[in-house]
Amino acid sequence: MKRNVLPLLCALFSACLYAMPEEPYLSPGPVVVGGDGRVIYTALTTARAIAVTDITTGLTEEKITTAQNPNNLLLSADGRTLYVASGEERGTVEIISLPKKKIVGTVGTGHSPFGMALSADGKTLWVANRFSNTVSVVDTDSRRLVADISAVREPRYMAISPDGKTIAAGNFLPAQAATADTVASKVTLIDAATNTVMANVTLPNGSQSLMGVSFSGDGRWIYAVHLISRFGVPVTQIDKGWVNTNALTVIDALRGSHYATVLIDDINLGAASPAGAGVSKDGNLYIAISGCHELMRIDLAGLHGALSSGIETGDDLLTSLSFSYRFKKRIPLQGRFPLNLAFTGEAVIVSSRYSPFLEAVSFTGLSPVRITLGDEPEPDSFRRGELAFNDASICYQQWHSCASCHPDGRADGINWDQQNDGLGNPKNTKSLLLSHVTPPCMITGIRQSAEKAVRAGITHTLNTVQPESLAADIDYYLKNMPQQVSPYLVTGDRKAIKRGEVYYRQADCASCHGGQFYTDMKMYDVGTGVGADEGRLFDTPSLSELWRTAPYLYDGRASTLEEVFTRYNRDDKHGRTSHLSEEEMKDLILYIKTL
Amino acid sequence: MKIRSILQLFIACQFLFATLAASGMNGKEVYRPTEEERSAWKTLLERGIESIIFVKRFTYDANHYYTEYINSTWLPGGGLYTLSLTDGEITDLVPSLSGGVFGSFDISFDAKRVVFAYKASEKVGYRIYEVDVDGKNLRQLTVSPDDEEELIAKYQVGGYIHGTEDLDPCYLPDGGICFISTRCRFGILCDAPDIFDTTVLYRMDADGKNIRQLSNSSVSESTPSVMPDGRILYTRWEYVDKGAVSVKCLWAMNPDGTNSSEIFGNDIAYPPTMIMARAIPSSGNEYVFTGTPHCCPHNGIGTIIRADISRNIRTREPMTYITPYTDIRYEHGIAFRDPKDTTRWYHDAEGRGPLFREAYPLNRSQFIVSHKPSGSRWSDRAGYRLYLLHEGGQVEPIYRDSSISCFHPMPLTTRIKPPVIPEKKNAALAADNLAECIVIDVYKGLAGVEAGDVKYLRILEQVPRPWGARRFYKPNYLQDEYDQQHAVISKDTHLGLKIQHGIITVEQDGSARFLVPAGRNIFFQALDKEYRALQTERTYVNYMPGEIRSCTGCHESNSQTPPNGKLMTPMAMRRAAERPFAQPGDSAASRTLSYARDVQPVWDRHCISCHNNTRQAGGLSLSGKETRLFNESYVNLVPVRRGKGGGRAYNLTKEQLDHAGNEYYIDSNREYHKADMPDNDLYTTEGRGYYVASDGFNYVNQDDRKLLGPVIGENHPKNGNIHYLPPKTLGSYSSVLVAMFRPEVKLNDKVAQARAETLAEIHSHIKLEKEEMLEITNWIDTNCQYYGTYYGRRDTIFRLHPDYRTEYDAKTAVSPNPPVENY
Repeated sequence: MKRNVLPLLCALFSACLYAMPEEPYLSPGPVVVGGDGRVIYTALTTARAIAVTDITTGLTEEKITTAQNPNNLLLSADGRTLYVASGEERGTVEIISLPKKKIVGTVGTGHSPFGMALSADGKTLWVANRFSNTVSVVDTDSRRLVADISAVREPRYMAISPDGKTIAAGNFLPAQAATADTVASKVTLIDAATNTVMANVTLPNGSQSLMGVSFSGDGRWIYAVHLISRFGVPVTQIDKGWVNTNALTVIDALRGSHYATVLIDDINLGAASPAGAGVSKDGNLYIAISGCHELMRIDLAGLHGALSSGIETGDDLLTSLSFSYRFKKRIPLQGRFPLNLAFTGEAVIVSSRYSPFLEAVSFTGLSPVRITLGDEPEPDSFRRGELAFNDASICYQQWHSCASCHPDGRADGINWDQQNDGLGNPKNTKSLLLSHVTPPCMITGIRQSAEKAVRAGITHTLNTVQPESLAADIDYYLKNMPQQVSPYLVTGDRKAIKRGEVYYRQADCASCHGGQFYTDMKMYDVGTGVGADEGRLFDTPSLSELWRTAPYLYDGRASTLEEVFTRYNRDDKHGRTSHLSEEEMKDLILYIKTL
Repeated sequence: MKIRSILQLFIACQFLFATLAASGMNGKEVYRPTEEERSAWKTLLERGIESIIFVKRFTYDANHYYTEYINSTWLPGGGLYTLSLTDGEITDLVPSLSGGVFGSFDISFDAKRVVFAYKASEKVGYRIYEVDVDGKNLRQLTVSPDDEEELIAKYQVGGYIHGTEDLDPCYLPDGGICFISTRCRFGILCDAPDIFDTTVLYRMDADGKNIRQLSNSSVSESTPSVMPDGRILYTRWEYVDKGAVSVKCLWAMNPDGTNSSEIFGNDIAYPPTMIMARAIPSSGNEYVFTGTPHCCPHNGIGTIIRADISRNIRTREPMTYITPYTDIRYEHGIAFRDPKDTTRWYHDAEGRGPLFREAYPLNRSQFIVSHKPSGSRWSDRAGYRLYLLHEGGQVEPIYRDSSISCFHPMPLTTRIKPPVIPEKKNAALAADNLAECIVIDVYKGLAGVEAGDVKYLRILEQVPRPWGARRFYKPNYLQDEYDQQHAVISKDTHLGLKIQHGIITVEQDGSARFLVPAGRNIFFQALDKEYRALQTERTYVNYMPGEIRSCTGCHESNSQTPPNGKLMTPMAMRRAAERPFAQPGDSAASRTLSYARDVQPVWDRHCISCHNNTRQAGGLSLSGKETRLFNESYVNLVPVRRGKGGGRAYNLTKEQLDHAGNEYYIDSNREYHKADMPDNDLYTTEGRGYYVASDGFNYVNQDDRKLLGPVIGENHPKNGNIHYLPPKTLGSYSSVLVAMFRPEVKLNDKVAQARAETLAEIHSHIKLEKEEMLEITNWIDTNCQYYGTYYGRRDTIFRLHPDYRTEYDAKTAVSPNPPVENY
């Protein structure tokens, strides 16, 4: 029992190392416009509250307190119900009746609910549970979960077609082995009538960090924004999108298939980390470019015109940094790290995570107008580090931030050929959780410490010189990043987990993957090295959060833990697992996934 | 008047004082703006600009854009000035520096300091100084090197002093200062009088210490500025198998010299010079520059152009003329729109129309600029004044000094400091003075080349000409004279010496990974399995020690990313970087390219029994007998590209003037007309021979047997052949001489191919070995050079001299000093 709780204690432990300030940061997130266009509701995602702003006065006079931190908001068509996806491992949808602003019900969902969609009649609510990899179906009358639909991996943003028949859920990360032919995120298309998956549309090779998903006004197209990581080439420079580029994919909603992908960067200026997106009534697609602190306006008629003109197609589009000049406009914002947006009759409302205000940009204008949400303390080291980690504006030509390959400080699921261990030997991106307390760093152990790795990353991957205080803030942020509780710990069969723990000891896992962080921090040859890395010793990685850091092994060749212990451990060099039966293997893996 | 009282004395003194103050005592004056000027001042003040800073100088009248410091008339005067737009106060920042000439300057990002170039006297070159913006703390940052006097004594030719010149200073975000200098001691390649030297980019610390050379270009680099992303933007003059005067275009590099790449202009024929460029900060992909003539007699004055690099940079699409009534369409002379009929343009060698220089962008459509209105000559000493310039060409005056010109205006305001780009180099590579190049897929950009065709890359270098390679020999100033080449290396082909560093492997998937010498002008050729060039890089990159640089192919565009998601790491990445290795038959990878040593022996073995001076089979002698500067076979094979009998031919018809290296020609009324250019101005059909004309010169290729394919003349025509050429346009794959011995080479030109087949039959009994054929193709693919180095005397009058036509090795070829001081 003690072991099962340990991860939870660790989460609390690391949370306690870092004491949040008395007053919370607001971290404005998703925004909805209600009250006949007169009220803005903003989820204050770290303040357990929703701000209520009167558009006519521009004042935020009220806050609705929620039971857990609100992740996302969705307003019913009649404007009388506000659905709030909230919480983490014990996710909920809190149902608030308007205009009274009272919580009238709560539905338990999966882990970290975010994306939501509501049927036209308001009777069915779909909720994407990021870390459960599912989309829950909620009957709003009875306020009960009636179904769970399997998505692919970390479904986040979700949208419903105007005719209510199709739901598109964007899967944040790729799920394949990093050595597969195609390593890319997918968009799950769900039939709203039957709650079944119609298709998983694969984005172009290298697509990851899939965020905003939005239907066109006529329902013909689905727009999805994401990165395209050029993982096939050595990381020798970042100019001209050599490493990361940022993209807009157009999916044919009627056929359920990929139509085109265009890059939204400029030739010498990236548009890093596109996030929330939405189609406005004036025929534009707006995208929050979080890493560059900008709002991007895409003229959809211009986009589709250019696509159908055949000027550039297919592969050419995927490598063209000049195609999108025709139809895009970049609008600088004052807010830091804009993530979400909503529309009033005349303007786009943008919220930024690290700024206690919203910005309104009129449909034809270029100058944002501020709307204050409240007060928050000065950013402390953790907060500054978190922003710096996500801030592409410190990167040379703003192509990417640390978070582009390490979303939320974890990993993109992709292999990269960095210079730190020589070129020609790509390695799977490693999560940075606990890296400061488990030196050496990188799977090859090439960096003596995480502090050195952070500074090397700033120099070599961001190609910038920054004050030492920025690196120190990033260290602090990474050291105090709270560990996410495993969904398997919440839903897993307790007895099976217990059995798994026994097999863990029996298989000798603990001899290397033991201790507080499930690593003895030593280097071993576990028979996994191939090619240039044959016979190589690898640094024992921590197993914390292993449930979320697929694929596995130094080159990500194992898309599942099963493969780690079967296909890639035939000679038992990597734990004595060959003797385990199928059931025993399942229990072992379940246990590991609770860490 | 008689002073009757103390009061009167007092008033008189006040009056006197005020007069003196207004007229220059204490270096301060007040300028009273005209009505029009007041309006421009208001516009600037509304933009937050309270003061501007500029240079006063008698207009340079040098005869080339890059020789302003070499052969302008020495006219000391002027200074570095600020003008307050609030009260008209005009201040001489460094009154203590007088009797000299001010070049250009830069202000620090915090607007507290000014760094500038100043030439103190006729005998000393430009040096760089710095002063605080309030005029205090004047200090000299660069000084003459210790050997300056020896240098001058050794290399002085006639009136021109080969000495140290430091110019165009520019503050860098890391606190250092970038500038251009002749400290590299290179000479211009096309330089008959031996007076034109080369400036390349340098940097130094804020205190003037640690001067480091950033580039290795053969011909001049100019006017650096810093872009919003922290890179240096500059102008680079270059030619590798291209016309010599057409490409002075915009490049960028990191402040440590790494990552040099083209911004715009390498394929654009006119204006021949794009200089004084600045990035437009609010507009990420736009740049403003001055388009000027190359020379003759003009220097850095012309038209203002804005370039948007999101459009295809191989075309003129990116260009918008901010001053649409002035253009430069030739090497020299200015084109002005006829004010009475704006569809017509006229050539004015005197430059009496509106001219511009040094536009500073306030935004993408408003600039402050130095401008000479219509009327006076281009070199009018006091002709240039300061204006506010609007897109469309409308100008509003800001300031004028009727006694002297004003140049290089900048707002005296703080600017956002661009980010610092870290210096990163691989220590192991740097220790060996190497750089590493990676090609992901050579086939990207190689239209018409099948996958698998490319087997090797050839590594070539364009060697800058050091001052040590002389043209005039003492005591009589006898010379190895040939055309405008300095140290003769070819007959009308290229001017920049090439040496070769071997070949490297291209893998089956088109990838390559290899090492190249650092600090050199490196360019590549893609070779087939018989080492024949499929495509040549007609530019170069100077890789810095320890630099690791990847490209996609041969060649991706400026707006293309690498391909995404190639399954496996490129094949070449699975092994270490290759060192270039020797071609078959070569004893070393690095070698010179010497016709007499490498190619002539092949003719001697196989050809001269029929093709000799007595019995000239086919009218061709391939004898190795020396001619004045070359040998007979070389002279017979390589065409002359000058006019029949030389000189101008004014009475040419329009048709004769067409097919020019220029896109325009001028008629006898000096009116410009668009030339009817064929698609490919290299090629001819039906054996017509091709005409390359400009300005009435009729260049008819004489003695062109058309065996070598379209060999490029860098000096003839000077302003042609710069545009992109598809694979197999040049070299072996266009050469009858190659195709006749290697039938697998199929020429695109049908007439040439038919001829090759006929000649092949006639020569079917001649068997050329692989290594012999390689010497021939290597020579043709590298554009038919004759001499292997810049060193050694050429002219047969020197045939008894100990250093007559000596064969030197590659190491000597790059030495700054001649192996034999035969001077």
